[in-house]
Amino acid sequence: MSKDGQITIQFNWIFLLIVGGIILFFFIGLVSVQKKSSEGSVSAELLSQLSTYFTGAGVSIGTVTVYDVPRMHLEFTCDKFYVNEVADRDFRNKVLFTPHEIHGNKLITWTLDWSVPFRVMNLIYISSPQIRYVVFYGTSGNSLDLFKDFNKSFPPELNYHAYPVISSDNINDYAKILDYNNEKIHFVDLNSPINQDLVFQIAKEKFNMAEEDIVFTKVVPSNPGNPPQSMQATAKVEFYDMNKTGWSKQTFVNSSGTLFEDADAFDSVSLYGAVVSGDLEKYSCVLSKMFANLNRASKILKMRSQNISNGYLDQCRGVHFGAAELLSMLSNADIGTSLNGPIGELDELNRQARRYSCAPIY
Amino acid sequence: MRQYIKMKKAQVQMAETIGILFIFLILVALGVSFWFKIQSSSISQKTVELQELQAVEVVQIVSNLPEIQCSRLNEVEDNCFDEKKMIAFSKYLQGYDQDFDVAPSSDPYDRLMEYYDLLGLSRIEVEIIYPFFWDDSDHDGLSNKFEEVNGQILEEIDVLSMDFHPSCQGGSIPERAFNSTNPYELDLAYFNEDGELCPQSNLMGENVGLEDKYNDTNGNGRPGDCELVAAPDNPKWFCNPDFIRPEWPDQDDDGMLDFWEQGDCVGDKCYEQIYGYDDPDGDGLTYWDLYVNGRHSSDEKDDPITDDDLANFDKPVIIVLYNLTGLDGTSSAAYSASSTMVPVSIKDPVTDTYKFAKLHITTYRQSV
Repeated sequence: MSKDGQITIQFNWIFLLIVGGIILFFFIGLVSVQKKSSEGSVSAELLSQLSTYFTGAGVSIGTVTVYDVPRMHLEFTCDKFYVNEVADRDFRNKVLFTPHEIHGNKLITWTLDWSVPFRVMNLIYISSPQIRYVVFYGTSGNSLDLFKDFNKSFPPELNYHAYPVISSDNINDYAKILDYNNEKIHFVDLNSPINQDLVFQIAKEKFNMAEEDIVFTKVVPSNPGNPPQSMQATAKVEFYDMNKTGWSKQTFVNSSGTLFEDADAFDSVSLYGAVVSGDLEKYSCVLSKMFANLNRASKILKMRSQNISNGYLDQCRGVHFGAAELLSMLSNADIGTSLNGPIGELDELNRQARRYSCAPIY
Repeated sequence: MRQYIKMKKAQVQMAETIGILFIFLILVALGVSFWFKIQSSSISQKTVELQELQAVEVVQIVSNLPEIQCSRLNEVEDNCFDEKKMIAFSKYLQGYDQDFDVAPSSDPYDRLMEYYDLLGLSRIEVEIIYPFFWDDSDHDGLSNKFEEVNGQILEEIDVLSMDFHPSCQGGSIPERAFNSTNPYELDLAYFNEDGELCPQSNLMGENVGLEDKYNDTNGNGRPGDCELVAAPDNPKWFCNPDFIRPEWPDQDDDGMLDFWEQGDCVGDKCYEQIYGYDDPDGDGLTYWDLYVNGRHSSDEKDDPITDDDLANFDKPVIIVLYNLTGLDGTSSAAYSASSTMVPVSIKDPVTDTYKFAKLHITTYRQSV
């Protein structure tokens, strides 16, 4: 009898343990699924919010907006962005110059339009107050002119500090460069005489941060005999990553196997893009997108000019015919193509169109 | 016997425990199913919200698309599309590369896919509502309504009959309308979101009728004479019983008014004033010389409109800018749609004139 009772009691306990365990695991599982889904939903919400910000920023030319967002980790590639490593979304064919990543609860967007000379698209620059741009410029000559031009448009909200290069190799001349505990530092050399090693020394001695959080962008003349004097001039940009012993130049091989060590900056918008992105591969990818848009916009404008010229019998026919030729050239342009010639000619033809009371070209 | 009773007790206890557990599990299952139901309804709600957001996003993107936006000296004009850019854009997406007369050489699908990232699955069209473009299916230069008067073929025009609502406020959606005082003068009527016609601008105080396919809705024996539907007691709203549609005075049927051929006016009014006929350069031809031939010259009388001119005339009543809906005959049920409409102006860069239009955007999304 007592044996039976023992068995009953033991069975009850075992039964309780098993069932209780199952129920416990069920709820633990439910909580963990809910936690994961809630994290995902928060990230998706953020993603959608950011996407709306980017769309909004994309249509308000010339504006700088600082957004307050929940604390997050944003990662950017050329085509998409990731929120908290959980959710991601394509940029679609918006063109954005972005740093590699952003931590924090503030986001800055700056929008400029790209015109050659007709408006091709709006470009969005993304940054954060936690990213600091340290700009070096020469105290005279082309570098100073270049800086003056840079300083005119680059918005102060983008947290940049500029330093004239007094000496090219003495760190004591840069006592004013202080560490403000930013998360990332982008060094920018606007074709100044500063020595690359000095920049490394400044980075190492003045900033207490990991090497991967520091990049160096160097603007060099594409034609050494004719250094850039303004942001509209053509220049080359080189990008460097920091390692323990110095700077290592960024390179990348494109899909057709060509090795790239630098990239073109053909006007102000691209130069600002290089400063903000600090990454050769991403910068080149964004440039390709820009040119794809240029090709398409030129093709459509070319068709428009052809159509308009067919309806005219007078000088306007010639003006639009000429424009169609130039636009046809731009519809096949790629990154290496010099845009300055066609831009000037199109501008002149548009002026003629106004003079002759024709439909404008753009 | 005692042993039997004890065993029964244990069995009863077990049964109780299992029963409680069973009920508990049922409650848990009910809770879980309820939770999933709530989740799924919130997902569908989210989908609808997302779709609406997507439609608004597409409106924003289209309104700011440099490919079609109006600009003067590269300064953008808000809410304005360049008509020539629009046509070029539409042709580009149809696969054209050169002149619009040369057959398309590129695959339209590839072209549409270039914009897929930006515009997604959507249909985007611009409906030009003012000035009125003639429906002229036989291309003889006479509007269909005039042909109807002359006993010729009547082409179909979309029906639109709506009440004029005096208390309606804040109408912002324009539609074409004609007024009975001057029946060939086409005006803009404004509607609010409830579809009520609002007494605004130049329609105030007039007997207003809307285009109604020229049916004889009011049963007065004269089709299209002011077919105000369901006229209420207000006598101001009744149609003019003396209304007679004036005939098109074009005896030689060349599409040109007799007046322009004879150089005459009736009293102190020329026909073009009587009929609200728009002829800005005063050469006797209306829109045709501006829109068909694209010329302003005053010698258009010597350059009669040919059938070729008319055949090539791209009547921009509705311009489909982009149409990638993902729909085909079999899959339409799997998609849900959301539509938005915004008023825009259309600029013709050649004549530097503006038209009123509606931008219709329908976005599609695969149903969850």
